[in-house]
Amino acid sequence: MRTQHAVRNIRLCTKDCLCLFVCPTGATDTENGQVDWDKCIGCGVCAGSCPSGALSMVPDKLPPQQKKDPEVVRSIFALAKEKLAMEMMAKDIAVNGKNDTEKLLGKAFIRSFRLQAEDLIREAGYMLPQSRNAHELLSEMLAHADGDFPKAEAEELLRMLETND
Amino acid sequence: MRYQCSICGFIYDEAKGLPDDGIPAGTTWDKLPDDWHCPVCGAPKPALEPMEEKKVEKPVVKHSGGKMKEDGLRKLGDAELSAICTNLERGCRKQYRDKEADLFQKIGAYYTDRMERAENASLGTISSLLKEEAKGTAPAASDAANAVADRGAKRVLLWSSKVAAMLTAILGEYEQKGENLLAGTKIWVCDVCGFVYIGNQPPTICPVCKVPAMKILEVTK
Repeated sequence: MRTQHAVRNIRLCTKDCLCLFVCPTGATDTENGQVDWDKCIGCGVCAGSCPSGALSMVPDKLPPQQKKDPEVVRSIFALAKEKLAMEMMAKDIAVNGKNDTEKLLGKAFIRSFRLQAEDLIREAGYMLPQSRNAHELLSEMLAHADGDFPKAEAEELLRMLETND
Repeated sequence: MRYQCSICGFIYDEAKGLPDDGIPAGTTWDKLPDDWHCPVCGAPKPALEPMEEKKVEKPVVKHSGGKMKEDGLRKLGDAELSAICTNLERGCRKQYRDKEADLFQKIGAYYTDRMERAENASLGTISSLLKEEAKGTAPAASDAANAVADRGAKRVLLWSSKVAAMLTAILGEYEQKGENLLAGTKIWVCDVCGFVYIGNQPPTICPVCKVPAMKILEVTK
């Protein structure tokens, strides 16, 4: 049974194309720059032969996320919430700032606060899209969905992402 | 005396100066120009602190007391749901799962649209909120992470406090220089940790999270 699959970092790929030559199933022969995971058997020969280090092997099933202490989760979410409130302020300043400098600072701060909030949340139980936490959240979103909620997208994600824990 | 940058850890030693930058050995802190910046991360002068009288006492933070009840499912607001989705979108991209990433992006956009708008916001308000955060929510979260030795949480809290300190420093500079702050220069954001840098070229590595310059992106009008 396959336990891993190959991925290609297109930024490193220099089209040496040894992967095409060595792959027993033609999984590396695609037009989208990525490996065809339906064909990949996880043998790792492509990763071993790639002279530019663009191919690597990723486990099919990632190890479970670290369990998080509820107080850590609570306090990190409280901090993330503040960052996101400041993101919204920065959004206002990016448009209505007193001058171009304020507007540009606003624009930079929008990104900064969003990235900080995302990184915080990653360490509060939402690191892996395959985690049970992510699945449960998607199901909960669907249960409370109103007319505008992108239901089809959430349902498709639940189908596509296999739980790893 | 030696002074250490609170953002990147660079040490300015008065005895040694910075001869390469035209600052002779023996230049004392007060003789350094006010518009001098940390040569590594670009933080303004006040972001450096004297090392000898390092504060030992930590800000006292009142905890909510006890652990959150196990059944206490947090009510997540639109803001947090939005950021969970955009974060999982990034997670999918890292795994080269673009299709799943696009789906998370759509769900994230739904919650982002619903986030409460801010009106009449000012940089001054952000500056005071950042200062409150540095005394309240940020150290409270660090205490919680330290209590259970959660390395991942400690890591993110260190990065985000450094980034927040940099934002505070930039806002302090804006108060002094006003519009001229960005005259003839550029502004950059690290696409991994959110570090903000003002200068013509980004640093070769991010002073906070150490990714290469390739990940530090210019913000333009």
